Amino acid sequence: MSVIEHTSHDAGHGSGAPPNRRNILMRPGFVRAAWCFALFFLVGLYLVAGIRWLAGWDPVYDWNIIVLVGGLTLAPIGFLLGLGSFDYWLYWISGRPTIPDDHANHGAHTWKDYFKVNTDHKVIGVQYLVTTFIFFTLGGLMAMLFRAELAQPGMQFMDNQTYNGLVSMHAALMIFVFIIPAFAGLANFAVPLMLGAPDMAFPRLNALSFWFLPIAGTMFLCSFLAPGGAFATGWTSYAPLASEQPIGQIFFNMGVQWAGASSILTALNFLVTIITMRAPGMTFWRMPLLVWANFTTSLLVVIATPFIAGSQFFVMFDRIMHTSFFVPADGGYVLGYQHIFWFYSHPAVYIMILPGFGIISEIISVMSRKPIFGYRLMAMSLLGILVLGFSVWAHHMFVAGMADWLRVPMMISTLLIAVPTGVKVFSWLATLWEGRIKLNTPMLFSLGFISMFVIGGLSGIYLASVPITIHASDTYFIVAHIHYVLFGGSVLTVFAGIYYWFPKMTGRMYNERLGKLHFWLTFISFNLTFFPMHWVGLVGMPRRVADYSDRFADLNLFVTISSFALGASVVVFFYNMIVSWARGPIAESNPWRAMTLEWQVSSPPPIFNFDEIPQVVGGPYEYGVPGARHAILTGGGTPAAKEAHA
Amino acid sequence: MSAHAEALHGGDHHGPPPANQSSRIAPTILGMFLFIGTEAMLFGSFFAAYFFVRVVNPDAPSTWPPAPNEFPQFVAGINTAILVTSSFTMHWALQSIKRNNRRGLQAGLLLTILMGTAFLLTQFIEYAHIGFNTSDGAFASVFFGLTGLHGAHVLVGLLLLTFAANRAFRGHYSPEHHHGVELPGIYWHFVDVMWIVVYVTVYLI
Amino acid sequence: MSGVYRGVVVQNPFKSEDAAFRFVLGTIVYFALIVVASLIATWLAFIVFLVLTGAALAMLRGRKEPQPPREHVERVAVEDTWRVLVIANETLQGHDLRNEIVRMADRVAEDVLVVCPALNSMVRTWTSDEDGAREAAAARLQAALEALEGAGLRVRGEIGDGDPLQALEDALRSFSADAIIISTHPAGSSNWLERGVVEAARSRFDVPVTHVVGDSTTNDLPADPGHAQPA
Repeated sequence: MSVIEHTSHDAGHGSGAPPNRRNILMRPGFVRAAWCFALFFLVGLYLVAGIRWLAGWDPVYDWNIIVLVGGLTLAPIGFLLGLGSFDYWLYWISGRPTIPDDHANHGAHTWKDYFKVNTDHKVIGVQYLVTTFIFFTLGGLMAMLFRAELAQPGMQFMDNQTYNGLVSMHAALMIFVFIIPAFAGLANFAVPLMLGAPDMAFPRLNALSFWFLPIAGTMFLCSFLAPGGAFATGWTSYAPLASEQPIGQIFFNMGVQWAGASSILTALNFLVTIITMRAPGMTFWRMPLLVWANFTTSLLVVIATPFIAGSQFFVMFDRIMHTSFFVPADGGYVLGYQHIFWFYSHPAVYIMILPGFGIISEIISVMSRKPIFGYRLMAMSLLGILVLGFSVWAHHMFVAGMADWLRVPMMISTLLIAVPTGVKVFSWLATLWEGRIKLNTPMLFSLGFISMFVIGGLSGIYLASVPITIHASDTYFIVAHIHYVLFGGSVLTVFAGIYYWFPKMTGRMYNERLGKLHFWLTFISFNLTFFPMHWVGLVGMPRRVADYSDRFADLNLFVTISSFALGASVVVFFYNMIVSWARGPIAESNPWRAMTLEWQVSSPPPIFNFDEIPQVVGGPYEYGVPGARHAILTGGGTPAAKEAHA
Repeated sequence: MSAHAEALHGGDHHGPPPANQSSRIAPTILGMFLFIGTEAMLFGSFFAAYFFVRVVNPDAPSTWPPAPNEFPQFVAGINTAILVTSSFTMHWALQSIKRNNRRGLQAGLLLTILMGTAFLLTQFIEYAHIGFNTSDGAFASVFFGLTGLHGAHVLVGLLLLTFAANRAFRGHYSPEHHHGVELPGIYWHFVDVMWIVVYVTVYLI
Repeated sequence: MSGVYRGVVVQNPFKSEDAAFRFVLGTIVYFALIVVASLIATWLAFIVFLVLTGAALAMLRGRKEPQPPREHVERVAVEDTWRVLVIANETLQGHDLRNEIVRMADRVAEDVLVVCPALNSMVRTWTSDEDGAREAAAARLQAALEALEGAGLRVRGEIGDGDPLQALEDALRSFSADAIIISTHPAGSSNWLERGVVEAARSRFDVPVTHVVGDSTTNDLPADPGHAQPA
């Protein structure tokens, strides 16, 4: 692990963390976090009021600014401070001696450790997954709420503003605090193990990145309590509407910043870990595809995410400091918001799918007992998607009124992205071809993913074409496309990955029959919910509307009922996860007989992953190749010390 | 669930095995450069806004800044000189510690902090006397946005340098281990580079 | 991120504060020149911008990857056993190679590991199409092992990575060799010699490397060309 410097006068074990003898108000934890939160809010309040009073600005108590500075910036910092996520750095800053290798906050020994600032990537991975699934549930419940409103034409039990709020919140939760961090969580768990590393490059930063996430999600949800209601401008939150909405809007603006910061810091961690901490013999061309996928995704995050940060800053500046970034009367350029926003948000969709591609590659190879077809080209196609992904953002703006000449080049580059994506789909199919296929739950989700993602991709090809988008833009056809690639794509891969790594993460096996039941319920209800949307969109139903023409009524009722079935299917998943973790059968270290390094250690892995760093002598997918080995493990005497054979 | 793990590996006082170094670059240095890449992209989004306001907007002003406003190019030029000099003192500080010259390290860090603070103060005074504020149109928004974002980064850099100086005066750092100075040093050079870009594109061109 | 000894894909120039400081100086020069040019004429500024940007990119590209650090191979001395690692492909069945191994093993117990890299064409390497290469290597290896056993040696064999230096490194992780023999075609017709495999092996590992020049003729040829060059 990285050591900044050694100090010669270390004061014994554990001096990097405050001793736990202190009372509950001063120990790092939720109690201290609570009063630090309140204190920092008050600091923000009086800071803003004080500056405004001194400068003679009216009103002194401007609640927009006070909420922004006090509530949404300083108070969460106070929370993090109280929780203890800055403790080690504060010791370092104060110049006191620190022990870089203090492991007091590493590893989970009881369930309480999962609620603390823990530096173990395996713990952080589980923390991410549980937190993101809480937001998934809330976002899903919101979807079911507004689907209930949409069951019949007319307004039954909510007004337009509430409806818009629910739709916006659903998307914001799902995108920023479910999908992106769920992949980060799975990768957090698996990548260091796959690399043969004892942890991530910056474990404390890793812990901090996780704790940004509940802050971001709670911030989004708190906007329901703001006067004027939740932010209701869609997750895209276009200017100038966003600058003029009630105060709930800034909860979105800032929540995105916290989620974005979490994402960026995690991505930095992944990049440094993958570049500098691979096991001996693991060249880039011997890394598992999950690692390649996270490498590419992390590059996307690091390059693109600052743009959405910028876009939200401008909206907040326009509101709070009365700047004119997007006020045309004063020289602003309204479309600029969309360009800057989509420059991130298009790569964001690749951020939301590339890790899923990595997961699927792992599962399909293992469950077909075959090497991945065209492994190097699979890695190159990830890089191809990375590069091309930055060139297509304006396909979200075909009807926004931008310069005409930009439309055709964007159309061409969008169509081009289908090529590396197609390489991957055909590769998976070729991997399956003549393999010895094991149709267990992870494999079912992987196969479901391929078919659903191809459907979503096909609707994407249609939408790449400008004339079709002119017709289909802002209709339910787009909603169908989005959900086929995001649910049928990303979410199915998240489920696949959770089932695949469940034995490794928990040391217990999930219930296979319940897993298969979950798959089929999900797959069927998902298709029944979203397939009709293609049709209903093309014949004219707009999106983001609470009321609609009577001729769409039957299909909408059908979709609503199906969506409730989809919601119910998640219950099967939660039941399986909870009960299996509590009392499922003990899992062996390598139930799938996979070759990648995480399966060569016990389930769950030892606290520092490996007793001795493995040595890599071959590729990770050499199933069926006689004599091929991925790695040699010589860890003295642990149960898992053996060579990873085909 | 975790009792299982403990049964297998009770007593983990041995710590992790040292990770293999699969690249010549130190992890923290790589992390800082990547972080700088991210911050550069954040500046990129602000430059994009500037580009939209000044070039793309069909109602873009014909002069920059639009009449009758003016940018204080001379004062900002002095500021540029101050910041560039501070990069030299920063480099000197690092060269010093590499040769075990502790006085040089401390002096270099102090000078850099001093000049950085002078830069910020000059910027505050410039803001007070510039004759327009944030609500005076898009050009002002872009001006304050870019210079303000940069100023915030200078502030962060000064904090990092202060922490490093604190430790330098307490006797930390050696010719072999000085990442705690090198990382703020790299960040400070980034701040300097960014200022040159901001100065040229906003004030000069 | 670059290959072991092949051409560099991308080189990261930013590895230290020195590099960052040089970048500051470069930036000052870059923008100063552009600003001065813009004061003369806008088109000149544009040309200066293009030229300088091109120069900067060219400087980023032109760096040579320094050699990886020397690796120490732990000697596992088991009494008198002399462990020899042989890397060869098409020259596996050559007379000279067999003579060299026999010479090395003279009067001591030997433990010879023969590694045959599964050499592959560029296209097939990039499309990960290894089956043909592995089969060809396996066939050659089998024949060579039979011949060497026939000469009374204690040998075993493995198929290695398509890159001979990588195959060497992989084998050394589980076989602590006391000596390495690399067998290649003669200079002029040897791909490996052109890419500097032997020199790279000598500088990478602290195990004596013997280079045997042979050809792919069978055992039946008389001991004619080719000279064994000791390390």
